[in-house]
Amino acid sequence: MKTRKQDSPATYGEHEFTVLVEKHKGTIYTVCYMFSKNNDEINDLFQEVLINIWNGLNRFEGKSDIRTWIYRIALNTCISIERKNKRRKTIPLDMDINLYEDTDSDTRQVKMLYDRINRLKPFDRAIILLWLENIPYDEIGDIVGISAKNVSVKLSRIRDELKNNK
Amino acid sequence: METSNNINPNEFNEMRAQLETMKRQLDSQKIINGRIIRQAMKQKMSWINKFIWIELTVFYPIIIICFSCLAIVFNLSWIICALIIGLTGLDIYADFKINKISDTDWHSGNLVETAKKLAHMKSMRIKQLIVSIPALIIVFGLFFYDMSSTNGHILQGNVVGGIIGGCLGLAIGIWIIMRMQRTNDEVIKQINEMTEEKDNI
Repeated sequence: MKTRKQDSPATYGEHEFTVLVEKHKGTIYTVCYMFSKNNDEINDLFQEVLINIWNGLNRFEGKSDIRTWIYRIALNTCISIERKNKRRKTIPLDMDINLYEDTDSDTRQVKMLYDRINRLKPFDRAIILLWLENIPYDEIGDIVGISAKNVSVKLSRIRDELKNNK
Repeated sequence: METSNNINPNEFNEMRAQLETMKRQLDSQKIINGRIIRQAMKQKMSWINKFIWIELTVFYPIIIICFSCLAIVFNLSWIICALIIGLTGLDIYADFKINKISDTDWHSGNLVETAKKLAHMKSMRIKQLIVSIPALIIVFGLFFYDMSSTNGHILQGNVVGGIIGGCLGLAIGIWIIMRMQRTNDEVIKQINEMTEEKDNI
């Protein structure tokens, strides 16, 4: 089997793409979950993110970590779609997860928190999501394009907003 | 109904736990299928079809109206104006025919055949340029000659402006064609990578 040089641009094929997405699907799904209202929307957003990853993969220069790059693509895609509120015909994906069903009181409390987060501006939602993912402040700043100090300030403001948001 | 307005750290931790649970559920599921990749390729080409529709529904009507008005107002030759309008229409029709690629080619068809169609598309675009640019230069040359000979010095500024505008339009047109060629190249490359991958397994 031919070996492929993985670290230079323009050498990503279907196999690399599949491996990459399978490895980071949880990350992508989490981002889509934060920007959607139901399972169909998650499906649509997920697919749009995959398309953008596929189209952008050969331009990835390796200057940042691949996970950071994927977060950036996923967030930009979700924020952009939220702003445009675009509807595109999509192909159903084989996912079977439903986080929108109420199961117990803890889940319902979390759902309330999720609803409050959903009312934040898209950029703020991105920051709180990355914080929930336990990503360090400097990496959050790298993903969203602000300094680590600014991330800290924004997070503090966002948490206050969530506390006061009914 | 919310029991409390305050968010306690536990809720954030529970949300983290829920997100982790969601990721673990995903681990067992296969997400990727070849259709997504084909959809991505189709989407990459979609801007070309959108551009051709804009050519037909926006630019072409503007051209028809502008040249008709010029012919009426400045008493220009209708034959030359009709030639310009006709040639532009033919060019747009050629764009439709050359850049046509069906959903079947993307989703059900053999991608190797699709790559061949994309390569053929590229060569047809170059042939279209080779034919249409000289034809349009000749016809526009006749138009500007007609404009200056019919109306003398009055429209000299218009002729100069028209020539500058024409050159700018030509440059933009060539840039768009080159961009279309690059899009085809990218998709052909992706198909070749995919099919090479499958051959090597």
